[in-house]
This record gives sequence, structure tokens and C-alpha cells, in this order.
Amino acid sequence: MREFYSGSEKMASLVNGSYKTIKILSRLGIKPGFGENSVSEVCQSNAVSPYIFLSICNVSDFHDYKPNVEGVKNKEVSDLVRYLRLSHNEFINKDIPSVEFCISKITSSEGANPKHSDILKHFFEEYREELESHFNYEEKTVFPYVTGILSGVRKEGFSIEKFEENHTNIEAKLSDLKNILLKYLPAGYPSDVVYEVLAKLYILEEEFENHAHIEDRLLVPLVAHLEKTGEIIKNGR
Amino acid sequence: MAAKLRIALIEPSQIVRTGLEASLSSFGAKFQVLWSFSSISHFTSFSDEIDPDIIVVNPALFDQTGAEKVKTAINNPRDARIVAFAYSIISESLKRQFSAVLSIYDTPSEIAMSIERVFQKEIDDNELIQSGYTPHPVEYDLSDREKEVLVSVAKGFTNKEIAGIHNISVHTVISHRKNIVRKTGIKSVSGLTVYSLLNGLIEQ
Ligand SMILES: [Fe+2]
Ligand SMILES: [Fe+2]
Repeated sequence: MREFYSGSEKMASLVNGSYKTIKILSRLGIKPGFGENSVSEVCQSNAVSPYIFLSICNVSDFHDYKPNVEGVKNKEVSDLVRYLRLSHNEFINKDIPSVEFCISKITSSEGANPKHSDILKHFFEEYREELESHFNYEEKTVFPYVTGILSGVRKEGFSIEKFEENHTNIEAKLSDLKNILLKYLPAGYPSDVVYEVLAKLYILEEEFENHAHIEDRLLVPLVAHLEKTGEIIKNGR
Repeated sequence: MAAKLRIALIEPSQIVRTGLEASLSSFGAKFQVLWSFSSISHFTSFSDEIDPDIIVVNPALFDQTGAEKVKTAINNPRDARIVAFAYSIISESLKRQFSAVLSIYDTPSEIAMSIERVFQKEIDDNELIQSGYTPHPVEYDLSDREKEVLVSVAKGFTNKEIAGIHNISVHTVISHRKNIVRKTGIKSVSGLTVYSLLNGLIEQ
């Protein structure tokens, strides 16, 4: 077992050890060409707070990691919110459409049973709607609340604890879809597409899980800390 | 051919954890240490996603008076055997709550034998010896009863309603549902509905 990631290690070796950090780098807009530079150096030269980059990597890769919330800066939390927003955008506008494309290839294939195709399409549609409303709630309610706190305004009637309590699971149904395709799809469907979508679903499930961990184990404690310590002007409406 | 016993460890000391993992894994054919956790809360956050046959846990993590029961402190939806791995003496009332108590001074093979014995006892209890009992059966087909319960789940009935329809206890409904989820790998009601439709158990 290794230690948590630190700012002094080389960015290239961090990525070599855990290639999934590529997605994190890409979402935060960090440019490649790291040379021998350390994690902190690379982050700083890309105007990203090293603290947030490291916390995201650590939450993703170590289940027992707890972020140090003491002395967290506004810029760091706003980097985190930006990261979560970009993740949502990627999920909804890139990953889900590419899964949907595969599903429609499957359901419109020659050997498809129209009854079964309808069932699958309906399940996927329902899931997509759930996902959209999950992200929507975060975008419209949770993130504005957080950015409000960063600018010293606290909206009444909401707290990050409320979010934590009601935060729902978004990967369970994806995993169901995966098992349905893997185990119970009747014969006659194009196996190359089925395998293609399965590979996507496995990756996406892991991404969703990580995303929820970042919200639950990084965003929530950081915002809870700001709620307690920040200088906040209460705002009735 | 018996399947490997799947083990989850809960032990705060990293060095002890590593040692236990290595010792148990050296009995390669019998055990698989698939999950390791440093605390009970850490374990709890994963307990819905994993399905160990055995949970090996440091008893120091529990209330020594035995007032808070191990079974309530540890979320164990699939009813895994819980085995203590103790550094020191533990109270009788706590001891009774485990299927076995291992000691840090046991040799790896003593530990392996104690764990096997827990399962041996289980087999005797269930008189499953002749059927070649495996903790994770290869046969994943749903039983007729499970199919009936599944149909009711897919139709949107609550556990209480299902119990009434099939004239069984709510507890039995829950245990059927757990088995359905374990066998199919499908957790959501709408996923189970898709399963039922694809398998012709219900009509659209
Ligand atoms: Fe989110
Ligand atoms: Fe979320």
C-alpha cells in the first residue's frame, strides 16, 4: 500500500501510477508536457490549485483519505465546483450519448426483438432522466449555494448537510444495465456492440462512483468547514 | 469442488492487515482476502457492495461491555460469519458474539483451520454435506419462489404486500429479495422489471 499523493512527487510518475488521473487533468485544463516537474509546479503553472488537484486524486484512489479542511481557500473550493460542473457536462454530453448510441445500435439491429428493444430503450431513457435531474439539482441548488458562501452570502433554508443526506446513488442503475446486457440479453444481438457498450458502462460506473465520492468526501467537508468558519452574511431570500 | 471463501478484513493497523492478508492468501486454494478496511465505518460504507463469506474483525473496535451488539454495529446484509482477530483478552460477552475468536499469537495454519471449522459447523448445521456445499454456488438460477416474489417486486408491490400475497413473512420476502439481487446482480426495481420482461416472467 502506498502513501497519499503529495505535491512534491513528479506529475508524470503520478499519472504513470494511476492513469485514471488523466481525466482529472483534462477536466481541470492542465496541459500535458510535464517534463520532470512536480505536481505542485505543474498545477501552479496551469493556474489550478495543487490542493484541489491532489485532493481529487486522493479521494479517487484512496478510500481512507480525508481532506485537510483547515485553511481552505475560496479559490480552491471554486476550482472544485468547476471540476464537478465539467464532470457533469462530460457525463451528460459525451458519455451518456455514446452509451445511448450503442444502445440504439443494439435495439435497431437485425436480430432485435422489438418488444425487448422497447424495454431496454425505456429503461435507459428513465435512467437518463434520473441522471439529469440529479445533476440539475446540484447545478441549480447545491453549487449556487456553495458559490454564494464563497462570496459571503449564505442562502437560508439550505445547508450542505441537507445535500449530503439526500444525495442519491447514480451508478446503481448503470450497474443493473451492465448486468442485464452481460447476463440476460437474448441471443441474436450484435456482440461487438454489446461488448463495446459494456466496456463503456464499466468505466462510466467507476467514474460515477468517484464523482459521488468527490462530492461526499471532499465538497461536503470543505463546505461544512466554510459554513462554520467563514464570514458569512445571512440572506433571507 | 468448493469455492474459495471470500474474506473481508477490518483491522486498523496497516501492518497487521498486511500480515493477515499475506498469511491467509498463502492458503491460496482456500481463501481469498478480497477486501480490507481500516475501520468499521469504512467497512460500512462498502458493505452493500461486497459479499464476503467471512468478516475478520479486530474486537477492540467494539464495545467491550457487549452492550452494543456486534451484529448491530456491523452492517452485514448477506449474513457473513463474523470472526474476531484479537490482540489481547476480550470479554466473555463480546466473545460469544463471534463465530470464532482468533489470536494474534495463532500461527497462520491455526488461523486457517479455525476459519474452516466455522464453515464446517455451518455445513453440519445445514446438512448440506452430501450436496457438495459451496458458499457461492455456480448455479445462479432463481428458484420458483424467488421468481414469484420477483414478479410481485416488478409489479411494484411493497414487501408487506408481497408477504400478504404469497402468505410468507416480511422477513422471508426480504431474504428472497436479497437472493434475487445476489443472483442477478440487478438492484433497482426497474432493472428487475427489465429482467422479468426479458425472461417472459411478466408481460408488458
Ligand atoms: Fe454531481
Ligand atoms: Fe451527485
